[in-house]
Amino acid sequence: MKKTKLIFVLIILSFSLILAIYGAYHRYSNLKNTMEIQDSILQLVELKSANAEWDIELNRIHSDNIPHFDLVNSAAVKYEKEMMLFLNKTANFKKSIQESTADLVILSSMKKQSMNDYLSEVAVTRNSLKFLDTLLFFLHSQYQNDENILRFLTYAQHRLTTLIASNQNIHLKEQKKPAECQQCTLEQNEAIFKVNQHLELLKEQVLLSHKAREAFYNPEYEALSTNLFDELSSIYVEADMVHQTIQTKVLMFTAILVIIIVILLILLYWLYRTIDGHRTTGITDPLTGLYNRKKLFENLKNLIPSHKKSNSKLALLFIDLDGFKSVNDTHGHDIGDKLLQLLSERLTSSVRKQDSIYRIGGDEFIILVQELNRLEDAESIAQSILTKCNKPYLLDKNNCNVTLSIGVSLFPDHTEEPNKLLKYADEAMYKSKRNGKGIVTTWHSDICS
Amino acid sequence: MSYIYLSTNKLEKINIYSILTQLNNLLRTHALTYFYLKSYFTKLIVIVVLASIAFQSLASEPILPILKKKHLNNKKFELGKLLFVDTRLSKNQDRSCHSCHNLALGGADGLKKPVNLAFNSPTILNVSKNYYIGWKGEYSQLKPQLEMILQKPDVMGTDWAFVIPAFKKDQLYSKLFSSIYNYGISKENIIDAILYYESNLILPSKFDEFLLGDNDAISLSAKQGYNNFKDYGCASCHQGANVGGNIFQELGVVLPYKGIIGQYKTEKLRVPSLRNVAKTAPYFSDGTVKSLKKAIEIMAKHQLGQKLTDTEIDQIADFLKSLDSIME
Repeated sequence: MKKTKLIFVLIILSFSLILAIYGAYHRYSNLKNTMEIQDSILQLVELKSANAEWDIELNRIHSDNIPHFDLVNSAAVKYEKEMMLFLNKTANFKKSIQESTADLVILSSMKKQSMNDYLSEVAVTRNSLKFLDTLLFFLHSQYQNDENILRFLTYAQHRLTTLIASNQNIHLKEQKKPAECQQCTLEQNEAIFKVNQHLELLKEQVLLSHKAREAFYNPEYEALSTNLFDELSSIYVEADMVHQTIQTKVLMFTAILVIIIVILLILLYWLYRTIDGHRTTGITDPLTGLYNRKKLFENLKNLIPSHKKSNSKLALLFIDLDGFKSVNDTHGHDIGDKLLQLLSERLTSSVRKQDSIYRIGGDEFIILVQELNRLEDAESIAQSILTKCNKPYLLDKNNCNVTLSIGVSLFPDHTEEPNKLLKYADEAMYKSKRNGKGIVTTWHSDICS
Repeated sequence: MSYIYLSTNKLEKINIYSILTQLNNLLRTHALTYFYLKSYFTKLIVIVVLASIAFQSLASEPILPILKKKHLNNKKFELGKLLFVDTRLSKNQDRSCHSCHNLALGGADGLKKPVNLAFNSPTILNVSKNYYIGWKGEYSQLKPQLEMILQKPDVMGTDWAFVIPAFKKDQLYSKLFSSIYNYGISKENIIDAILYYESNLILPSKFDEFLLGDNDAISLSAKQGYNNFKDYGCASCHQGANVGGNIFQELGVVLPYKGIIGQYKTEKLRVPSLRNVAKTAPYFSDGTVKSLKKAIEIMAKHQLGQKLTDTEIDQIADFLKSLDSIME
């Protein structure tokens, strides 16, 4: 019972110690700060990849016949989301980083603005290309036989091809412009004028579209994001270094603390062992390991009030060996000592766990039988002890025959005083010795007569 | 992107035939290669790849189909609907979101311009499919735009100090809010519920069914109109899932536009979504044009430099009517 309690307390103590050290480590280490910086760096990488995706979609618009603006817009929305996350994660960082991120936000909003311009230009350009194509096709079929106008139309077709190519960043050789049509009718001149007008418009559109396209490839953006990455990495390295030193310190401190505690515990245990040993030697008999006379009176003093309280009976069995002296004389003291040890083993095995056995003289033993209801119970226990211990003892090939004489006194039926209880039991024991040895006698008031 | 639609039941019902025919055609052209493959696993991979090619052809249309959201939190949606029509959210308790975005009128109000405001009110239906919100396109997310609308005194001017206690007294609201949110009625939760309703107002049209493979979903004239729409170049700007709403353009690209009365101020605005356009007259940012056909004519003249015949205009109008959401 005591041992388990002690272990329990120790476990709780060690747990609280571990918790305290862990809490201190979390509070004073730089771990949180380091993790925040690491997170922001990862977020910057996400942001960069979102930006790359956005660029890919912007490029795809140029190469697609029917560009899907939804795709590029969703890439832009994704970029914005990553940007918001990045801003949240770097909100507590130092000023220079704040400035860089603010610049990054301005640059990306500029990029978005130029993307919007670019998309509207692309829509118009695609439209003009298609429109001019249909117009030329229509005019071709209308003036199939008119050579003057066909020459012009061929020129216009070539110019359209040049413009389509230049929209894809491919530059073709320009063709010479044909001389103005002298014999053309008014209607034909109008058609030529219309085609020329649209060609000019388309040329402008292609230029505008190129200009808008160039606007969102900003080298400043790349430089800024690289710079930001470097800055974040450098503060990460700093924070991590601080964290590492604190970590080592905490680990050292913990190790020292643990060693000290272990040494202290060992010392305490040693002290406990010594004190416990001293105490046991004070109350036990060195030969048999049973309690001695001192412990008997101590226990009696404790047991009597507790029995009074619980209203139950306490029996005192006074045991004396018959013929122990002759064993000592015939076989020697060694055999006598061994006999006593064997006897004490038999006694211990024949009583209940709560009952205690004491050796108070050379061959005199006392057993305290606790918590009884009736006198008969004490007598039956004494009887069973007798039958067990009266059997012969085989010691070093010598067969020794010893019997027990037992006197029984009962608390509170006979007396309530511990000294008298012992005395009555002694008297009863003498009575059984006189009555022929090897029997149990219970004390009664007229036993002396 | 397009094979996301594979998972929807609707597509499986409508489009399975067309997918199979497309697959069949593809397989016939690559039949030798297909039968040369021995293991079933590689055959399966080939089928998947071919199916994805078949879907790619679907994605090359300028207009992408939209699908109704499947797993809706109905309670939250109903709560958002209640808040959407609640006049207590406005400053003088005389208007709600529904006043300008009447679902019966295609998500708009049918007026030239709402009182005090500079632009004709656009439709609320399918608004979450737009990349830019509002005529100016200042917002690319619904939440900041909704917060702005509620805060602006010209529009709603919500008095939160009045609204929250009033809603707390309302038994229906307190029951609904406490069953959906942890902290009951608060500004954030009210905005969240409206936002949920608004962003899930996705109503597909007959044309989406056509795009998903149901050939008979729209009339022949509408199909012809769709071809005109693509050929004349309307689809250069009005494209994507919401038939617009993803780029900016000014009115009068080819021929400057002065307006009906000559008061139109040209500026770069968001290209509006053409879904539900037939229901949301009057047209343009100033709401001066009343008929759809007139609007088509003006757009063709000033944006594309084309003069359309009456039949072409009718066909395009039929196509635009097929973009109307199917209401339940």
